[in-house]
Amino acid sequence: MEISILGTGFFCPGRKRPPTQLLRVMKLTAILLIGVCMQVSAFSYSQTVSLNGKNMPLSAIFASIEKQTGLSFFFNYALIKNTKPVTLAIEDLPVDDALHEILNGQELDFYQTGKTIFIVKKSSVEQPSVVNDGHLIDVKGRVTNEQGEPLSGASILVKNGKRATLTNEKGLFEFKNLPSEAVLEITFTGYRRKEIPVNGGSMVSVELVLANNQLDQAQVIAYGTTTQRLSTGDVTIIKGEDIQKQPVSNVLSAIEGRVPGLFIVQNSGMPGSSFSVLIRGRNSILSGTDPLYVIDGVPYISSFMLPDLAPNAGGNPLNFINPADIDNISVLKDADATAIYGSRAANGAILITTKKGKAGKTKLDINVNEGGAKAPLKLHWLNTAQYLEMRREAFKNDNVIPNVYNAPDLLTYDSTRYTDWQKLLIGGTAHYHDIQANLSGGNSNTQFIVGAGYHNESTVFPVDGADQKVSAHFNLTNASADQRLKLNALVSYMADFNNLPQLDMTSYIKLSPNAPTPFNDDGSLNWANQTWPSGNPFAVLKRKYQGRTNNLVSSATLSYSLLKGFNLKSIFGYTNMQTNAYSTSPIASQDPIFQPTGAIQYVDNNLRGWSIEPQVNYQRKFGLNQIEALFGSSVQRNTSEGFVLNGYGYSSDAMLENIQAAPTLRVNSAFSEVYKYFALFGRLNYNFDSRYILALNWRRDGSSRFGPNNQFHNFASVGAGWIFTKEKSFMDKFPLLSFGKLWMSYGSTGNDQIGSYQFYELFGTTNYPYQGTTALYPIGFSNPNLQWEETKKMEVGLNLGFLQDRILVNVGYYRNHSNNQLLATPLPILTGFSSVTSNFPATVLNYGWEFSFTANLIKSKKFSWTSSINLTIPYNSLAAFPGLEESTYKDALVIGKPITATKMYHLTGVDPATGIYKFQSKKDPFNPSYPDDVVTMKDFAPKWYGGFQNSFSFKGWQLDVFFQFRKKFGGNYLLQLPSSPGHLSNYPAAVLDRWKAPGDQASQEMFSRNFSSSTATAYQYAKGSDYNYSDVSFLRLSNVSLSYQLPDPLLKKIHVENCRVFFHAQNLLTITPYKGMDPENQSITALPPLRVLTGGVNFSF
Amino acid sequence: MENSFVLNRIATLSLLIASLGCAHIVSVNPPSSNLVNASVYATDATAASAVSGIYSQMTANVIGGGGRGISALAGLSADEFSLYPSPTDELLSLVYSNSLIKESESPIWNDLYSSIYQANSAIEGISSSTTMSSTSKQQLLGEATFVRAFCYFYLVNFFGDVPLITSASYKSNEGAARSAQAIVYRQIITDLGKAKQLLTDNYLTPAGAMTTERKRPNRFTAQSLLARVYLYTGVYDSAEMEATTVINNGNFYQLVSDLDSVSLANNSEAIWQLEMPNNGFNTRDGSIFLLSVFGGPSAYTPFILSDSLVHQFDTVDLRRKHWIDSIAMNGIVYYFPFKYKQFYTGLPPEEYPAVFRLAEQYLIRAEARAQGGNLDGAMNDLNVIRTRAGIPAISGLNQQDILKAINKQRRLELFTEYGHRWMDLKRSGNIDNVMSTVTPLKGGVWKTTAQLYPIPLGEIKLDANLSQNPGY
Repeated sequence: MEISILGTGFFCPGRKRPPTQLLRVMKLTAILLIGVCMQVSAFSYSQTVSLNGKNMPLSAIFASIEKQTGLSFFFNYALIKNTKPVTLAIEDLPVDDALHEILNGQELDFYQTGKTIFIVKKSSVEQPSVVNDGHLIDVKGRVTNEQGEPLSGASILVKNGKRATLTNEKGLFEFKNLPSEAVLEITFTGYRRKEIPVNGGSMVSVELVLANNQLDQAQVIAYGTTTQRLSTGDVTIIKGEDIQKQPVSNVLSAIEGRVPGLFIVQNSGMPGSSFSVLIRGRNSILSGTDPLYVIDGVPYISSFMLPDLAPNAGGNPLNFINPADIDNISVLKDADATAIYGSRAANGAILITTKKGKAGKTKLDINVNEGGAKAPLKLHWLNTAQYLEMRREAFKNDNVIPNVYNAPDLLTYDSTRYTDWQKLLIGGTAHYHDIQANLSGGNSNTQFIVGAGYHNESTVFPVDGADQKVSAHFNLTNASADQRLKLNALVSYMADFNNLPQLDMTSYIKLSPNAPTPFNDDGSLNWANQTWPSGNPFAVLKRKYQGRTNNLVSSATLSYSLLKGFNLKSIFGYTNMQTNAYSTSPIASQDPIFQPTGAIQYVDNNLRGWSIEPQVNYQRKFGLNQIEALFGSSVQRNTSEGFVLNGYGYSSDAMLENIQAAPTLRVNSAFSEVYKYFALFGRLNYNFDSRYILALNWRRDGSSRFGPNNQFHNFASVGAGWIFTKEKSFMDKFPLLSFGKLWMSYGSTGNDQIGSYQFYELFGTTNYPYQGTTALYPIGFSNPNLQWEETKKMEVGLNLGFLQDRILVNVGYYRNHSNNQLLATPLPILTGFSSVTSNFPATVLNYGWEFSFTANLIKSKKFSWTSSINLTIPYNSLAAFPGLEESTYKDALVIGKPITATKMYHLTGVDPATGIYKFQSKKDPFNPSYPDDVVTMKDFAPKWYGGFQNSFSFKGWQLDVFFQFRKKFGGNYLLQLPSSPGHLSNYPAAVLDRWKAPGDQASQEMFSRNFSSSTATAYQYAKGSDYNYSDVSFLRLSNVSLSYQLPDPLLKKIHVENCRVFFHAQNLLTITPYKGMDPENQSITALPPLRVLTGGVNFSF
Repeated sequence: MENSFVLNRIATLSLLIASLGCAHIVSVNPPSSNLVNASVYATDATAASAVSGIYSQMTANVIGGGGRGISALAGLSADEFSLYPSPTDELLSLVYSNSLIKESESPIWNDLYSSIYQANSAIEGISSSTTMSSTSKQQLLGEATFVRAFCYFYLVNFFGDVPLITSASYKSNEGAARSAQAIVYRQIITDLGKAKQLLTDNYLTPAGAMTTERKRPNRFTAQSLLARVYLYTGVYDSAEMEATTVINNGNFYQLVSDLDSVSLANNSEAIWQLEMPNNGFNTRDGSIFLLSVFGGPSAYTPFILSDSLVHQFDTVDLRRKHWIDSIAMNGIVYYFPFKYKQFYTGLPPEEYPAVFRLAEQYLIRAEARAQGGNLDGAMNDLNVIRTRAGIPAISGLNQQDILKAINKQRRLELFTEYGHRWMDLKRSGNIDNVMSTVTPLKGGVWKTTAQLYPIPLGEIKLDANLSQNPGY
């Protein structure tokens, strides 16, 4: 070792320096280091210097300045060896002035690049490019980022010289005997490549700039980072800034449509609602299809075990992660990117990285965002006249005379009354308040960010209350002065308080338009002689729900550079999510005629998880060869427990929230689950000249979800890439092509998303004892031989860059085979249960094409326009199912057809003679029989989908417009109500095109209010026919974000570093052939995703 | 530097911990909230809990009653109930108009086979247990065997030929075909024979102590069902013999003199009752039939006693007075069953559903005797029932008239209880006659195939060997 350290700068001792000298320097280093470290912990640096002393050696002075300012000195030891000691007394002098003072009279000069101060011979500054042709020189250098932090592991290549090296943990490198005219090429993941001519100088300082080029931006991948340029896997990154332009409370709705291969459906517009997330289609016939979520390296739950107190309670765990804290999201799809996650990666992985502090001046950033949201209503229901006509006709058709019992709406309701229930119940405006504040800063050794947020969202229902989220985020990064020991600690916390009704009022908008007023004149609820079909809608709103969820995600990553190229690292993670909720059924919300009593239900749920993931990483460069190896282990344990408590029989609402006052108290359910997980994994990356890349991944996984016979399994993948634009011949032939990579990956991943304990034959406890003792009942069939479901993934990709990478095109073809399907194999109930979980030798094939295209169309100083589009064309098919004909799936699945497809009857229309739906049938067109007459098969999976983003900036203005689109089929909104038109319920106005008299040609069958009529039966058959298959494609203007950056002179006046005013809109416009409420959730009884408009301002100080 | 050594150690230690004991690291114990099969049948107490679990599940399913219980559904199918229009449960309309379709839900099928699984699982677990005491084994095996027979009795009566499942293994059962009713009855008789041997005369607690609570079947319960099964299958001498054993046990069973107490917990007439959970309510049939509580019928409480049934009672009949009540709503009088009188008390239930009671045994014996030619004996038994109801005794009738009189008394005595009327109509061969006039009044068209409920479509889809009943 020839280089020693002084703080973060270093001496370059003469070539034949005796070792004693070196030792002495090291001692000094150690002492100073402590000082520097202590200084570091104070988080602040002055850029002024104070010195007071006599005959101080320059080295000590430099060390002191380093200590005071955080700057680094860079010089050849020989240069200052014979300098005169300095005597001086200065106080709070700027560094520049101080150095002039110090070097006054010496044959030395200095210049500063970034945070490094170079001490040079006086002349060398004036003539930096002294050329010494033909000479061999020794070159040393240091590579830093823009903040002056050393970059370790940066690769330095001598152009045409076949020599290369990597920087050490202090960012230093050295070459001996280099031709003085050599040119160095410096590359580092996520940074722009840089070429530096040596020009005979013996010292080089390189500052790398973060890559704006998408190809070279860092991509967070499993246990590391890479770039799109060098990756052999399929990773898509969404930047935090794109997420934060969208007024959403769950990050999933912000990434919808932005990632090829990722298909998301928001199931409801209620705050905290659930999402369906599918990466590259449905791999599993019946098991879970959730991707693996990883937050800052710590696995996060993908679904809840929360007993549903309310349909929405904890709909999606990401509801408790603040989108504003997210720095970026990586979506991993293919084998190369996911195989290292082994048994949980079959459905892909979504890695969330939260914000980290950046070195530099301490900065306060405040973001205030206010707005409102409405349900985009558009469904036309029958008005009172049309409704009454329907009902009277139904009675006539049924040959039944209406009386007050079967037709209160015709005989007792006011026939002139009209209520637009849609408007009344879901037509309100939800308020949206969001404020986020971040304090961040640090220096080259320590960076921090402290964030706090408050989010408040109310509802469109006619009720008070809100879903409020208070969150805190803290991240601290610290590196020892020698950059060998590093710590990253982070804590994300969210407290959610929700007192919104948990029943979706949309389910009541089908009330008869002439239904009575919900309130009596005295303000009490109108029970209308029990004629409300499912109770008075406002009674539901009298039930009180209160849910509190506290979510903590924390992790600490410790890493240490052991030897050259060796890095030890361990991630310790802890997550805890606690939910306490209750909902009441007050007497006031119930019809007094039933002599009701009050009831309350409590839910308590606690999820805890910890994980330890120790890893060893090795990096080495031999000439043009670069290898990177990783070996690690993962130990995890998740515990989940909870109970549901019911209190009954309250005679007064006043005591309702006091569980102790409950006349009858009962534990409705109590559950506990332990999930343990263990893995060993490894990765080997080989890169030759950034031209040929090979990646191998391996993982051995064990999970407690499987029986003792099959607990462990191996997963592996291989990826290879060829950057053909590195081949000379290519570059010459296609000068427009700046980058081209052909890559492929192949490997295996698994899926363990079945419940725990399925291999045990378990008994549960009944709710009530029998004869005074506990009663037990068997929960289900056990299967001790359960195994992993395995998905073999293959992908071939082509990445192209044109015009200096201003245009990037990615094309991918993937083909995933999922076999050994873990199915809750349906059983006839005569066996005792309706299913058993078992492995099935079935294979599901998902394949498809993914395209993305990004172009910096215009890039000038004042105006820029970036456009990007992505498109996915997925296919799904059941490739194999040995013994399908004998299996319980024989009628549900067809080999060669998508597993998302369903067999259906074929509706041939309304019979003009009888007015009833007719079907294609071998025997009876009015009574098709199963399975003989299920003649068509329709697929509900998307045909193609994608997103289209345009970003414009002009001076201080920035406009982002994002469209998403999908071609898909779904259910017919006309068949969503439980019974056929004619019953005591409103129907969409389209039912008016019905059959009235023999000979009529109509699209809808005749009205009937009889549950057992052939009309009613035909309606149920129609639900299982191709009539219940309609185009739900849409093009949606998902997000518009307009912002204006206040000009600098104005900012200076108001003493603000940065100020941006913005307007955000979500779900602004939808173009669709679908006639129901919303083509995304396709329901006329669930609230559609809301349209949100907000405006706000962002300040930085 | 010292830092590095410490860190070094931490890292090494982490790796070491991680690689230690791979196999143990992912094994989990059963969740604290559950027991596993092997441990359930290891002790008398837990095995008794598992058998109690069968009864406990029954209280919550079709056996326990309620809006989809056997009493409600069979009463709708027959001529016992009038259905209030547009009930919230669509199944009720279809059952009521005798127009079930193959897509209809089938709670009776699902619940009974679920209980049969529990019984089979208990029979297997208890039989193979090496650690249970022999007395406990005998009692619990007897109970489980009885339960299996009981469930099959209702299955054959609602569905005709049904798959005969006598083991807990789904692998051997998932492709089961239907067995002829005669074969199912043979199994029922075999099981009841076994139960008769295994069970004792006494009512027991789960711990095996004697008790006055009639919540677990005893030997007489098995014999009561055996008497019924022999009657249904035409083995009249055996039916008479079994019924006699029950009737003669005066120290256990006596008809209650006060008709209002026929549903009280542990009354002297009860042979087997299900203990209802202590949730403030009483019986589930009571909570759906008692229209007085709801101020009249509604879409939620649509069960109105049919006028034709109410008019069958003599005016002096005490059962008309004590077991039927009415409420007037908007000038219309609605009758409803009043055998169960308690709705919500907030206290431990006072009434339990009587799955078997003594009155039925008198009627069984009367019919068996009449069929066997012992006409006086038959009239004696019938008169026991008539006398208690406060109507005059009969005498001197011929066999045909006696059988008719018995049939009528069965209708009046056992109305809205566990489907007796529906099953009697079917076994008497008189059903087409009766229903072809009744069904049209209920808004349907009678087809003789409606005697049997459809085999659930889901089951047929999953079990290729299952056939559908004709007419569906």
